[in-house]
Amino acid sequence: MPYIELHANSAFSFLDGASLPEALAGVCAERGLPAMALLDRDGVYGSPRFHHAAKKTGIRALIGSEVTIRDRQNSPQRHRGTEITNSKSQRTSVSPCLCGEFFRLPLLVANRAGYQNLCRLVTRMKLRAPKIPIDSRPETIAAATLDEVTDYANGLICLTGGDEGPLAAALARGGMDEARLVAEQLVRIFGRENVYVELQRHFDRAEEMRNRALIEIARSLGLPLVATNGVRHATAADRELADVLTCIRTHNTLETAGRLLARNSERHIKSAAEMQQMFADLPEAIAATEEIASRLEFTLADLGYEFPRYPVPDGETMMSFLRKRVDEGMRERYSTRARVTGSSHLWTRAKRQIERELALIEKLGLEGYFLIVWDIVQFCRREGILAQGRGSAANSAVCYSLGITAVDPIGMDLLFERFLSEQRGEWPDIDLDLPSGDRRERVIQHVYERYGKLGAAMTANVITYRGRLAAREMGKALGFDAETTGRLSAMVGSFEYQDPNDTLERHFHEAGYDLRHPRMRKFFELCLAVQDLPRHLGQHSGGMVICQGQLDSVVPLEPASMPGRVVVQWDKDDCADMGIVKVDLLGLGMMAVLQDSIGIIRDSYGDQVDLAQIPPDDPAVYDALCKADTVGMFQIESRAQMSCLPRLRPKRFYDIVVQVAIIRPGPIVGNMVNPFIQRRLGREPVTYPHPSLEPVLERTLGVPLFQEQLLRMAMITAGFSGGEAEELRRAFGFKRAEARMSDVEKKLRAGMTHNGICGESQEAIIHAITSFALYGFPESHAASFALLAYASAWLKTHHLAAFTAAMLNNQPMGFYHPATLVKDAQRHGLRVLPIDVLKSDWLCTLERIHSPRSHEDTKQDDGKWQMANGKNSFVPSCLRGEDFAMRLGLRYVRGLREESAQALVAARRMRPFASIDEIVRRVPELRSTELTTLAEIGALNSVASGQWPVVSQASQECHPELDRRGGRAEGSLPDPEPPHIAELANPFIPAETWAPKRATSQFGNSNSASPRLRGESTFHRRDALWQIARSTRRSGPLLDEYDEPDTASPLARMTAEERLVADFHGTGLTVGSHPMRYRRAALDAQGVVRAGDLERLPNGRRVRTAGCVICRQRPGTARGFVFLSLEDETGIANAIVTPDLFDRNRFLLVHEKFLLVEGPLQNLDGVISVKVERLESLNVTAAETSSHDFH
Amino acid sequence: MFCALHIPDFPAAAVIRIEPDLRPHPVAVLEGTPPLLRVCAMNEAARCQGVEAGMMKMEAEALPGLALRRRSPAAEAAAEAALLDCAHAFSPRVESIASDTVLLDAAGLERLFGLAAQLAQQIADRAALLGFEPNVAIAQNREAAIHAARGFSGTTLIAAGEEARCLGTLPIDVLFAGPDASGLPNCRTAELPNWHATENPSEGHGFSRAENTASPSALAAGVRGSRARSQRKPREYREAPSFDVKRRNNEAPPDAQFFIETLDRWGVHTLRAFAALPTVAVAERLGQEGVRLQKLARGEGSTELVAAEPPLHFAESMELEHPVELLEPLAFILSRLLEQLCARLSARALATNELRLTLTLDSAVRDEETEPSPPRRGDAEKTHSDCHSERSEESAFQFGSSAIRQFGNRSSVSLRLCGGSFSRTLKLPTPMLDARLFLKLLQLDLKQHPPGAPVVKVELTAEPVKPQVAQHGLFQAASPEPEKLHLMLARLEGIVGHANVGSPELLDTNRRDAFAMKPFHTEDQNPPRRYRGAEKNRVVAAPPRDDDSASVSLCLRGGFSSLAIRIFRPPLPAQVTVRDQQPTCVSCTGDGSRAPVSGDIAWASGPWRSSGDWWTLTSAPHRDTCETRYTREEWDVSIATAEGDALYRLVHDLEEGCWLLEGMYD
Repeated sequence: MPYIELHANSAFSFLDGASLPEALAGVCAERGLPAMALLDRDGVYGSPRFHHAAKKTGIRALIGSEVTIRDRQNSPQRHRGTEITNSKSQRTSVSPCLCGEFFRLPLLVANRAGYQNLCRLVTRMKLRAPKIPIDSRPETIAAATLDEVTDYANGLICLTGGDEGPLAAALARGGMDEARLVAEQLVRIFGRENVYVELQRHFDRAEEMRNRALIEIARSLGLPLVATNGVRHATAADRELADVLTCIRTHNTLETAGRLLARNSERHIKSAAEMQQMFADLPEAIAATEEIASRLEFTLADLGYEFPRYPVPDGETMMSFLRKRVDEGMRERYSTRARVTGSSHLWTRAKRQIERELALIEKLGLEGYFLIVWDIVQFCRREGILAQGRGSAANSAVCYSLGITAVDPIGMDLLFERFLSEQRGEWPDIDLDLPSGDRRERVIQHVYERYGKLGAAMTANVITYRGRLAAREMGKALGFDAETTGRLSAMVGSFEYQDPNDTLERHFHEAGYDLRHPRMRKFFELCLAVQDLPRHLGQHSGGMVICQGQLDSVVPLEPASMPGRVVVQWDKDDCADMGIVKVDLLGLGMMAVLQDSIGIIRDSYGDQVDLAQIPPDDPAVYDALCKADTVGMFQIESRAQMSCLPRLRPKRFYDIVVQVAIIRPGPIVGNMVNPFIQRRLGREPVTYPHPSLEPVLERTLGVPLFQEQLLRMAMITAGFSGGEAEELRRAFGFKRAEARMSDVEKKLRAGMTHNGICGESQEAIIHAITSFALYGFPESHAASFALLAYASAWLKTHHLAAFTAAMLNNQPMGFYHPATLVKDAQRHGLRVLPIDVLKSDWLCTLERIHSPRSHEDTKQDDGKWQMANGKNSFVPSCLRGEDFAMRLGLRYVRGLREESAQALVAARRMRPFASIDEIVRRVPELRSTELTTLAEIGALNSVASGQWPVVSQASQECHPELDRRGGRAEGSLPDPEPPHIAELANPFIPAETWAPKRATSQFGNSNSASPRLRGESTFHRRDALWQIARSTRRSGPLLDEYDEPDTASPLARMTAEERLVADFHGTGLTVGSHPMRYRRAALDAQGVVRAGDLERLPNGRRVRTAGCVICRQRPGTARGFVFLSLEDETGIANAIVTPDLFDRNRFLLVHEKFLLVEGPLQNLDGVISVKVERLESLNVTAAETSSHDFH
Repeated sequence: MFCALHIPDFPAAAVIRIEPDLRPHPVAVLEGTPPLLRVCAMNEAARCQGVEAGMMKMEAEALPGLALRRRSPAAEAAAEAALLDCAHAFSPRVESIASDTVLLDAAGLERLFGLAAQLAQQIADRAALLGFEPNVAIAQNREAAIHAARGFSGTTLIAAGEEARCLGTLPIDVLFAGPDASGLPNCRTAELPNWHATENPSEGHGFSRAENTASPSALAAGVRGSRARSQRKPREYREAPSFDVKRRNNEAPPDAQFFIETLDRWGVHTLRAFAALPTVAVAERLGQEGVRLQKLARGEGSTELVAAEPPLHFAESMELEHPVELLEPLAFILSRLLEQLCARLSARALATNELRLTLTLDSAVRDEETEPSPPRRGDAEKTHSDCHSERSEESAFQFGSSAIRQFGNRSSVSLRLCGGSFSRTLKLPTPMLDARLFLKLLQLDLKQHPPGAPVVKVELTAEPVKPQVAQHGLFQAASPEPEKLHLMLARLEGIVGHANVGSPELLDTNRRDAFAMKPFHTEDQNPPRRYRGAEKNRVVAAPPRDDDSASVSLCLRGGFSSLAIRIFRPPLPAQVTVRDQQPTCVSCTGDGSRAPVSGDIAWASGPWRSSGDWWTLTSAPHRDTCETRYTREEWDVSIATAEGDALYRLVHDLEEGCWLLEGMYD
């Protein structure tokens, strides 16, 4: 007699199940069960994965859910007199059904109507409650009522559940009579034929006692019995993990969880024989499983999803409306260019291609989709929000014509099939890049408003257990203290590349833990076991699902953590697998930077920059790229990109497209980078894997770099259609499709053999294609990114101040920390002014300054300021004519709340502050800790300095940058302390040239001369701290109105080191000298070469260089090599560490902030790096510099 | 004039005091629970070798030659007492500042011990005899002496008026050393003193240093102090906060962190810099506490010493001319001593809640036959003891239950030379003063825990407490007198054993029959009932067992009947025949109180499976505790016997691989 498991929870019941749907399906097939029903808690979270896994393993995936019901009528209050409270349940803070008035109702989906009802029921209960219950108050727990269940009962079959089901609750509450009443109520709701009394046997006396009661009730009411095993984990061994998840769910440790843990390990998938043996006395309960399963017709293949229609004017169809919009766009985009170039060829090709695309769109019924995306783009235009399509959409001329993308696919000869193919049977995927932050949120809210809360939702992002999260939570469950847990989790994760010796055992040993200890061993095992299990549901960064009619009948919706957001219960892969079309509205930091830069340029310079109009062949931009001077530039700023740029030497836009695409795991693993560069440098002849591929690979010198090329290669060599080629790409790139991959590969080989391509050629082509499997850019996507890269490069080159301000205002983003961005900008001649409460806004701003040199002078310099010592001559022309410096914004003050900062700025706008006391009085929002931080970083110095205009004549002679009006004039006085003055004077001049006397010791004798003689304000940071300490201890309301003037303190001025520490602690960066500058004299004595001087040394010379570690990388594609970026005051030096050396000096390399490295210099083709043979730590400063690690 | 005595690295010093052989070697003291042991203190040799507070045990083990010891509260308590003894040897007026620091009033001691330098030297010498390497400081006020002792190693003499100058180089943190600075010193040195210019009071400088070194711990802290800015919260986050940082956070007064951070921000790192700030301005910014601290920084301090009251000590002892071998004559002696003790207590209107009996045993005899008693079932669940015995450190004896008989029957005892003492402590639930009761209790206890050798000296110590004065309510239900109740309990313990008396309490676990014996309390003493792992909001009424609750529930609602079970304690081992995975025949020999059970199984229900505590240890040494995993199957079986069918609970312990008859259904 077959048995079908009808009650199983997967890990998608979130901490209430310990196995992934794939594992359940696998074990199910292994044990010979023909079908299984997945009843995840309050949703169908795991159903898509279960559906696909079941298809793969050949079992039937039945759908259902355990729905939490709150039965107010049966609340414990009503049964106070006879209540036997399940006190174990009361102790759980997040398991509502264990409380008296809650239970869980297992519902099985019989048909599509039932599925839709289930989705609507869950949506209704979920959207009513907050995402996280508030203090476990019953009304804030997401639960349906029996009335609601009555409304949505059609098409559903009801089981009575196990120990958390309605009958168990009723038995505990009111005994047999109560249980009988509840059973009758269920019969009334679902109908007699749709209610089954569920029996579970886990070898537990209490459960068996309950079963006896249930059997009696079933017989008395004439209800059928059904056996299930209430599966929570696939195998018995998974019970340990289930216990741990219970602890996490209930905020307990294993020691304290007590009877919340499983009594035994019986809740795993059992074979039919085992179940039959267990229910030998009730064979009808086993037989009923098959009967029920035969009634469950619904599968997720029958989802009934329909994409929404776009409302069009009367007399129009969506297709006709789309055709008109495309026609308009096509004329705008192509006819102008055709007129200018005098060539009708482009126009003709475009027209033909667009017609082909439109025909396919009409055939597939996708016109609504295109119109909806077009509508979103139109909204962005109206609102002045930058929007650009990325990804494969850029292959479509229709998208280009509609203004969705900015890359001309005709001009670039891009492959449309990469975007849309009839054979593929998948919806197209259009990703829109939007400026991150508020502007993207506006677009998302627009979509919600337009399609309704139940018509559109974000896709989910399933947060899964990985490295640190797993270690942290397993440690907590095992009862480790917070410190140990933190320490354990900190050592997990780390680099992308893990060498064979990089075992967790070794990490444990190095951290001082003994894996031989049983509990530590258990921790280790649990960490491994929990990998990839879902923890909770998050929200995808931008994927939106839109549905014709009600989306809540396709998939349940629930609130996201972010107010106003609704998410579906599936992630984007699941949505794609289920054929649900989505639009990705992605927030891209660089889009925000571009838009902000344009705004800053407009506001400060009065210039209107149009990104579409910037010259595509600006030599200054390409110069910067060739020099790998790309810090902050989109996609081409990483160390790997920088090491490639000088060899690739981009000269035109297409080179940037190649540059963006070439530093990807696909081309790197496929060994395509070096051949391409060698061919480009003319050191290697251009050859092709097969002569027939020449037209495809000609542009990339015979080396395939883009996905489109691989598709075309398949089409040419193996005779694939466009759809088949795309299927091949997906097969290789799709992580859950090994079988599909081998099938397509076979097909590919067969096709090539048929076309006479065999042997090495065939292998070379196969290797090229498989290398792209995981990560390779489509050409269209690379082109879209290249546009942004070029725009960012152009802005940085020509509007450095605005670009830097925008970059800093949109952090975190990009590859470098703000400290590195500031130093890079300073090296390019930008004056960065420190935070000043009299000048700074919340964001970084530009401030007009009085240039030390006239406009004409700078012009004569031909775009370069000649430095005092002539050593550092590179200052791009970007500063020509600019009289702006960048003022650091208050957002960089750590611990300063935005509301306090805005209040400060608002008060200042009303009337400037005359004293620190006045700030304290007029801005009560500022807390004392915030004021203290402001004082500590020197942001209050100028307030008090106003009372004592002390900048001496002598200092003005030495430092003409200082304002001649006494330091209080607009834009003139930064933190008047030595390093800042030095920065203002010239950040490139070595310390000894601007203050030779101060270079005698590590941090100099900055306090040796009188401040006045040194040209400083006598009011310093410690004066401000002294004043703050007094001002924040108010004397009382009587004297509140009387501000105390700022007075000198008896405290010593901060030393340079102290200022550095304060700057880094208070802002994470310094606008003063680079810490390495203070050590330069000592380093010179050691023969340490500056980063900026390395380029002048020959290849192979043994060198020493040192700096602050700003980046550590151990890429998975580099076979264990570690790449370090060391920054000093002149630039960034690159260092390469071999795996052996890394192994021997792991601690130094991972933890030290400043390093001195020594080894032969590699200076080839302008790519400079030191191959490290020896290294040591360097004690430079205690400042908290930071590094961007582990990419 | 005051003299302060400070023991740096106190936990390490306490350990080295017990093991003097360790003195020249690097020693680190570990704290925590395995496997999470960390270094909490170390001696100077270890510090030089690179040991740091907070270091994991495995990291420390990697250092060659480093001796690792667990932190010992007993050793520290003994060291603290020894330190006080040392101080008392010089002055009757002694104040205990912290575990590692004592202060003594040195006024007038010059007549006895000579000049201050000589006094300091003698104190240091005596401390050395006790196994310490102390810092000694003499100053005109107590705080200056304390700060100097904590900050400077060796001997420091500060002449009157020179306090500010002498203390000026000390780090600010020395002002904030916690009241129980038994761990590492809580000081950081920003500016280390230059001791090379030794000054001598006789030369008129008013400040002398016997050693030219700063305190090693202060030196070590000074290294940290050079990174002082990066150590401030919240910026000071490190992966493994060191012991001293934690200690400072935990033990420094709440405002201490504020003062330390504020002064650090101001660049005020030494007492001298702090002292130089204008007082009014300090008052405006740091309040009166700031002013007080500044006074301390200037070397000003009080001249009052809060002398430690010598604790009242009620002890009586008697050395016996002939060793006593039997309980009866010992009782006579005990009676006499108890009467004296009670009389003394009564004279001071005191009672006692703890009696300690120490018997010095005849060094010539020892019970050779007695073996260490195996741990008894239930001992692991013992959570509290009203009455406990403890062997003195010198005692090497272990006694078995047979010793009761042996003590009364000398002919069965074979003896040999050995030495030691034996002590018992009676903890009473309420303060009492009844010599007869005490005698009875001691007799009962000695019967249960005989010393095992003839007694040559008897010593009785009583812990003095105020007698309990309470008036019962008019309508309060009568309850046994606490004295009588305690006597009754003592008698019961004498019969069934200590671990088997009390109130059984179920533990919150799925482990079958897991319970703990809680001591009886009178009504007003009952604490809230907590369960294993009970947390702040989890003080709940006893949760019913799942199986019981279900059956009770159903029973109440009129569905089914339920059976009561008598649990066999301990369960009886059984031989079981299994066929088709079901037990078919049982054979159990029974024990003294239960008849053998044997027969075919007529009917069986089960198995009822339970397993858990899978994360716990499974190695043999831990088998006797609750901390072991369990996997078992229970069967309810009907066994046909001569008297008729009987229902039993049969258990198959899968971890041990044995069958047990656990109980019988009524």
